[in-house]
Amino acid sequence: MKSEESRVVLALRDVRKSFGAHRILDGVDLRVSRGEVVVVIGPSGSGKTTLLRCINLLAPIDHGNISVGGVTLTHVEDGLPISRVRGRELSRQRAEIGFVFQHFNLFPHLTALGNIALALRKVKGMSAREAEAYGRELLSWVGLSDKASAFPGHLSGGQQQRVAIVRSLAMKPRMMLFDEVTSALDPETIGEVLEVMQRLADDGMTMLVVTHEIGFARNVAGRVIFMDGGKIVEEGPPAAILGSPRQARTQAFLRCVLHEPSRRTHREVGS
Amino acid sequence: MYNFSVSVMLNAAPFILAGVPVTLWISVAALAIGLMIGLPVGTLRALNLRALDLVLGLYVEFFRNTPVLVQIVWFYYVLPIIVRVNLSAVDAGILALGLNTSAYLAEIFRGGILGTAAGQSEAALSLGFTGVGTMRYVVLPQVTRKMLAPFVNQFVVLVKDSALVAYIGVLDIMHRGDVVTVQSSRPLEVYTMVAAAYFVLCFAASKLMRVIEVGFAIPQ
Ligand SMILES: Nc1ncnc2c1ncn2[C@@H]1O[C@H](COP(=O)(O)OP(=O)(O)OP(=O)(O)O)[C@@H](O)[C@H]1O
Ligand SMILES: [Mg+2]
Repeated sequence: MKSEESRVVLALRDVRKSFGAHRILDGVDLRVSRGEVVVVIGPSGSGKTTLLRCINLLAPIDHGNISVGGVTLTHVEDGLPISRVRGRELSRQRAEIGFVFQHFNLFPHLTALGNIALALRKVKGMSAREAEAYGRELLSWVGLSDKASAFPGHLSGGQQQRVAIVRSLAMKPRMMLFDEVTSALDPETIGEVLEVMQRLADDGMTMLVVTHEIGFARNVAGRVIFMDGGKIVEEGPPAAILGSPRQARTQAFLRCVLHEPSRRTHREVGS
Repeated sequence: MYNFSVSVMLNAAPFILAGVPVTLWISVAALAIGLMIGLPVGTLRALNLRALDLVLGLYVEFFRNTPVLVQIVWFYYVLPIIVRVNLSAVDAGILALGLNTSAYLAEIFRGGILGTAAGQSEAALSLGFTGVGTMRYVVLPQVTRKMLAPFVNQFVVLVKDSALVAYIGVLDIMHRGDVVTVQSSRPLEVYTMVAAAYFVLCFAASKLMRVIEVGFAIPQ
């Protein structure tokens, strides 16, 4: 169906990636449609972060095809590059996809507002005034109006992550990637970050979210993917994957996540 | 017992202290050369471009593994033989100390860039910065601030090492001390004076830069 095809924001075909002799992604096929929220779960080392980095062209793939909005970003056949964007076009395409990192990666030498304004000015070419005005608007959207001139070192983890989210959002990306964005946070600030993500989802943002927050997956995701050993083992609606997974590996992983209290993962956030 | 004469010291002071501007000029000029060469070399080395890295690595290692005094002498006596330039003793000293400093600063810089979390580059790239933009707006501003303390340290090393240009006849603080000692046969007073002059310069430089460093620090 043509109309369905045009709704696809992100398409991965048979993506493979190795570090040295170690195969990290082993043939990943994935399509994400506009407005969809896809949650990725999976054990440590299963290749979740690597998957997101490849999608944002922060790491080259060894095989397969990645396209965004119908434009092929990279196409490699067994290590042989067939086509890939480069130079300015590469940078432009990266900005089309937002990336929110586990450890925020805010620029420590700039204020919260400066963090948002920098790329608006130097990448988008906005004037300083425009960039600041838009930055303030975004900060107020995440309840941080009063922190505009605070440096990252003076903000809590939750506040830093909210700044990081709107810094990324400021570039008006087609979709956003989230890599365990709450796992480095104090428990009391996790909720405020998940709340922002929920609002993004409600506003129709296309999101690919790696998380161990099962509550978020249950309540916000349209689809849940379980990854293991560099492969998508199982995917489906949250109720199916989280409630009655068919694969033994998924069952084992969920037992682990749901019953290990130290990982604080079974709180029902957003409900 | 040798008796320490304050009047000998006071008499020698004007002549010796006239070397302060010379020492300072050599140190500042060498630091400027060190920065101008050290920053690009360190930045390029951090990018780890194979062929280039070999050449730059050789450059850095050469200056770090030969004595500064030998380098100074080499630039003063040997360079004019190879290329037809006649450097004054001061200029030869500045050039040798400057290149030597650039090697150390390059290493400091490279370490600073590599030590600036890879996450910073990824964040910038993800926002659509080019590689050059990432360096310019995100990595280097952080590195420069973090590197301020090592820079000062390098400057202090430079002021002290600059005493070696006395060997090729530059009338700096040290060499003036030699001259007065020969005339007066009072090494105790004279070299104590010389040491005090270096101490004040270096100590003041580190204290001053400490203030600047605090002002420039990235808020934690
Ligand atoms: N740059 C790299 N060089 C070499 N190996 C790497 C690199 N990045 C990741 N790896 C390896 O790839 C494997 C998968 O890493 P990845 O970070 O994608 O897993 P993950 O699913 O995100 O795990 P976690 O839940 O711990 O974040 C790991 O074994 C890791 O050591
Ligand atoms: Mg990870």
